[in-house]
Amino acid sequence: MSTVATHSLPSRPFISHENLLFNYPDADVILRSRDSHEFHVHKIYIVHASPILGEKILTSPNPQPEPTPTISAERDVEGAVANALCMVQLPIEGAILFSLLTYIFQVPQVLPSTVRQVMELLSVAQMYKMDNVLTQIRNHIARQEPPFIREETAYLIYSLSLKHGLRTEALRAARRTLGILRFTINDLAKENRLDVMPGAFLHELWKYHQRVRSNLTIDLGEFKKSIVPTIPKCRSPTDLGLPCWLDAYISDIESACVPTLLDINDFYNALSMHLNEYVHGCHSCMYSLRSNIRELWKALTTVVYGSIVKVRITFFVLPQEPERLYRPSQISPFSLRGRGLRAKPDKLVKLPLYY
Amino acid sequence: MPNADVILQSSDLVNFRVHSSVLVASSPLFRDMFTLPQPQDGTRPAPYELPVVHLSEDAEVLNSLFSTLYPVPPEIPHSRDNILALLAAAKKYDMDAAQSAIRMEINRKGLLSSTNAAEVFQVYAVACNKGLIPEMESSARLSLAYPLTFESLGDALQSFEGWALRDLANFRRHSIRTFASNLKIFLECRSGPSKIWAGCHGAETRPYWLSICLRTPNLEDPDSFTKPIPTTAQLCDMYFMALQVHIEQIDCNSCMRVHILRGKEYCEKLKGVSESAQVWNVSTCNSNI
Repeated sequence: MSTVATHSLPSRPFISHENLLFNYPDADVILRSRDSHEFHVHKIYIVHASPILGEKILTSPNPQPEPTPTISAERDVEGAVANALCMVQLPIEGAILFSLLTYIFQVPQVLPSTVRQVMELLSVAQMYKMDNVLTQIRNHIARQEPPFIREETAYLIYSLSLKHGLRTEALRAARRTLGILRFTINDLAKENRLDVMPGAFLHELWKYHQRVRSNLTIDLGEFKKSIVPTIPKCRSPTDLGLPCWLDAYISDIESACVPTLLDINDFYNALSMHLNEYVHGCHSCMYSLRSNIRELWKALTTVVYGSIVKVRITFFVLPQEPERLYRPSQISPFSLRGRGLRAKPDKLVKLPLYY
Repeated sequence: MPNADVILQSSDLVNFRVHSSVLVASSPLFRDMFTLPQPQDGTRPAPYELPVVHLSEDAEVLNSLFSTLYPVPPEIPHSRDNILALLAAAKKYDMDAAQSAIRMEINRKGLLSSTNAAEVFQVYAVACNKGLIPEMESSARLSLAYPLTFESLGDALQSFEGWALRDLANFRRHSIRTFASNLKIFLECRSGPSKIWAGCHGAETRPYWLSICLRTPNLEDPDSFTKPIPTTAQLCDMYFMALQVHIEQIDCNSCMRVHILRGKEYCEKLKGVSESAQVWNVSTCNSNI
């Protein structure tokens, strides 16, 4: 085993996902996870991937090799090398750190197995400002099948995204919740989702749904006005001059349970029902409108999706140690300055936040 | 306080000069604190300086708390949030007598009751967060009079922990089930208290007007727990108004006579139906979760 990394490319690492093993034989730093897993890697890659983590590694004290006056010469060398590697303790779970390293080094990328862990991985990558790694993880997530953000996971991902400050995921998950159900306490209770997130996050999600609906109403109202001059006169127009079936269809979108799922077949059905209302059909809708119905549909869906995309999530930080989170029988931190007394450590234990 | 021997400093840096003996007598936690051995190092204050203990409560809360320990009229804070903070502080320092005194004062003045849904939900959420069980239970019962919807919760939702909302929903399910089943029994003309109306024209099981005004919640409707349960006053109002309309419409002498003779007694029993929904506790409804 060589004691110094002499090549520009590192040697092949020993990797085992099951055992959380990630060891380069010629590593020059050990990253130690919160749960005491050690990963022998090369500093240069870490420094390149994250300026923050790089600085932490570069500023960590470099231990001196200790003399090992025992047994064989080969083991002496190994012992000296192991002792010489500087070790950096990171506040990251082993499985997350392992996964993170697969995006930094040239090895097969491994996403953690649970939603919570994936969100933590994204959070860690964001925390250490690993922009490229973050992009790679997001690309990897986007290729997942079934989709990472889907009906069963949307609420949890939304909640964890707000907790970790992941704007992209929070917004995507919030948009996905638009397509699940009408957003009521009762619907959430039916799905056992009332306790999936703190009330503050739920309140923001409710406000988001409200903003989407209100935006949709305004934008569709303007859309109706804008298309009136382009639509031929129907046999049964509304006061505005729109064909009544089209007006009803657009109004249905505004009040629909799921405004994101627009189906062109429903659109055609609405038109067909209108045409069947009259013995000889509605001439203008049958001939004039039919010719540009694709364009009309495209314009309508653009307005709907554009309206939804405009709405953002308001980010806020929940207080990390609010007083209300102390178990009431436990005393909050206070010192006994002057008397030199201290509260008993077991009285200072804080309750976990939500997760 | 004259002859004070300790300074308690609030989170907003207001000093309260108090007697450690009073604190020791009222709080096991302060008793432990003041009986711990003192280290013999440089942190010990000079003999003429009083020791300072830093507390996490603000001055208004501490002032109120100390007013319950000394023989002075208790000063209860004005805002609901601070009242709950006061109770939480008394609980944190294991001041049982102070907690009782504060609760007595709160109940006497009705300081935590409200006719505003968002305020009731807010008290419930904050009481849950601070582990104030009596306030959590009473506000949960008060909240039965209001719908459990996003609109009704308003900004109070921001104070909820996820579990608190789930527990409230479970509690309401139990309560409305009890209310619905008791109301159904109550309205039975053959056996229940409503048999006094059996003489009404065309009444087979119960008078039509009574069924309409006191509609039993549909338990098949999964949405039922989000709906409000009528209060005793609302139930009686519904009864009076429906009876009035009924008498005006068909000039029902039978119901008129029954109301004059036994209407008051009937109303009292009707109040019991609404009160029966109040037998549940949030804690017991969620003990298996």
